[in-house]
Amino acid sequence: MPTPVAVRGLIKEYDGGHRALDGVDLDIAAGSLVALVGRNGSGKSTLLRCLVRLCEPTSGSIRIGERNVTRADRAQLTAIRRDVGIVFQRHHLIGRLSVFRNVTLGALGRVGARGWSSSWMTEMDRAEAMTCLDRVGLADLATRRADTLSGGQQQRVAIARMLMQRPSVVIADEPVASLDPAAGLVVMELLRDVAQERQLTTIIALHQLDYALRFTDRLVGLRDGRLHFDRPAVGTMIEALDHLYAVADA
Amino acid sequence: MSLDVLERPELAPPEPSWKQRPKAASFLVSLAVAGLVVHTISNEAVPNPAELLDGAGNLWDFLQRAFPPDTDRLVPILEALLVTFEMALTGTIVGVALSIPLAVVAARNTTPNRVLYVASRLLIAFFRTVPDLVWGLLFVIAVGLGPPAGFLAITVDVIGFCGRFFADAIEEMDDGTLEGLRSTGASRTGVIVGAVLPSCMPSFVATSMFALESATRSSVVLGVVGAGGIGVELTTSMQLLRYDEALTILLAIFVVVLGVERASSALRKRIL
Repeated sequence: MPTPVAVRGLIKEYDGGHRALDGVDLDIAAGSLVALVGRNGSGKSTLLRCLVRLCEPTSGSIRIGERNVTRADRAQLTAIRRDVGIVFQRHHLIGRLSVFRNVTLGALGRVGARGWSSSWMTEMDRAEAMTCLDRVGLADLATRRADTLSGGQQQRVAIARMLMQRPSVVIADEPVASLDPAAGLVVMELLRDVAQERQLTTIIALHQLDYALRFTDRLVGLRDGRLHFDRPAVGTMIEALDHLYAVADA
Repeated sequence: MSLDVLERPELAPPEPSWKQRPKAASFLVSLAVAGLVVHTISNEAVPNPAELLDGAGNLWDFLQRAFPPDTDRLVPILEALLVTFEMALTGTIVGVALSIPLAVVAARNTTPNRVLYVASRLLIAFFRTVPDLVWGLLFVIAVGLGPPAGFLAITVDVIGFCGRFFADAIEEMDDGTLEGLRSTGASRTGVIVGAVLPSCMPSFVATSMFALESATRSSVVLGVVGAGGIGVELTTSMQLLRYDEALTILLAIFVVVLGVERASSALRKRIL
């Protein structure tokens, strides 16, 4: 079931007083695909990390569906995280493990102790992992070591691992930043397609404005930790976004 | 290409290290080391050339009396050698098994809390700093003469060695990988058993193989302090001046230690 995300007055201040987020309000409709754009240091990654409290917000509130993330205790937070799939810029696979094993790790939180080894998993779990790999077009590489794959393939494995988690919300932090344009295109198409197929609420931090316009429904611009604009992707010209990347005080 | 450096002193490259004045701390450390070396020589702790020459003569005498090796007691020698190897192998297996949970607690990125981290690091450091021979003596007092004392000494020694290197291997794991798995809502135990340990396994196996090599050598010496095995046989032969029998024992030890080293090296190459 699609899950909305609501952020209210979110502030994140790091040690030393640097304010990475400065009162962000954001509503993301269930099943929508939103791009977060902005210069380095604008607060995109901090916002995404705060959504699952990989970094603790200083104040403000976050709700994912009916659940209050900011007030969740440890057990509740674990349950929330199970429902949120994350795709990182660096895929964070375990290089010496097989592609198949890396995908099954996505179910680690969901299936409990039987996920500790892929051989303890049920036939259904194993079949699901192969289905996820097939969805990203890498079923034939299941037995390969993850570190023998190209950067684009590794990111697709990370997406398969995220699918194995069965999330209702996906956050992706610059998923194509370290990929060449061709591999980046494949990854973006894949993210858009799986988000549509599974009605996943998806938030992607991106630097590539052309990808943001082409693959997402809505653009949210951040600048100096504040919401700079929030507009639909359809009908927006890339030139209209240039000011976001203009050097401050220029 | 113009060399601006010739005209602009601020672009002059830094002096090579050998041209720089030594720092006070380096100078003091060098002075202390030199002082200790001179003190050692003046205390006659290092043999002089005449003593070395005498020593070589004595060694030649030993070799003449040791050849040919006496194989009359080959069966009891091999039995003692088997006890020694079993002591090393079992001690290593138990030590490695105990090192794994200890290393998880002693690694910054997987420890449940700071107190346990410090306590486990201190325990590992204590096990490491006390030499295996001293552990052997202590366990002989505790459980009496024989292989059980050797087994315990090796187990503790292996925990000191493997605990430290296992923990270091876990700490070398990419923080992002751990964060990625924790962010899926997996439990701490799930992440450790499902991902951290499999990921560190090659390093664990390589370290364990080194530990087995070291334990095999240690187990021979432990016999000298009464912790059982071939060391007891060797001490007895040497004390009774039966050098030909001692040589048989030394050759048997050499074959076993070399065999363990070769097997360990082959396994490490295969895994890493």
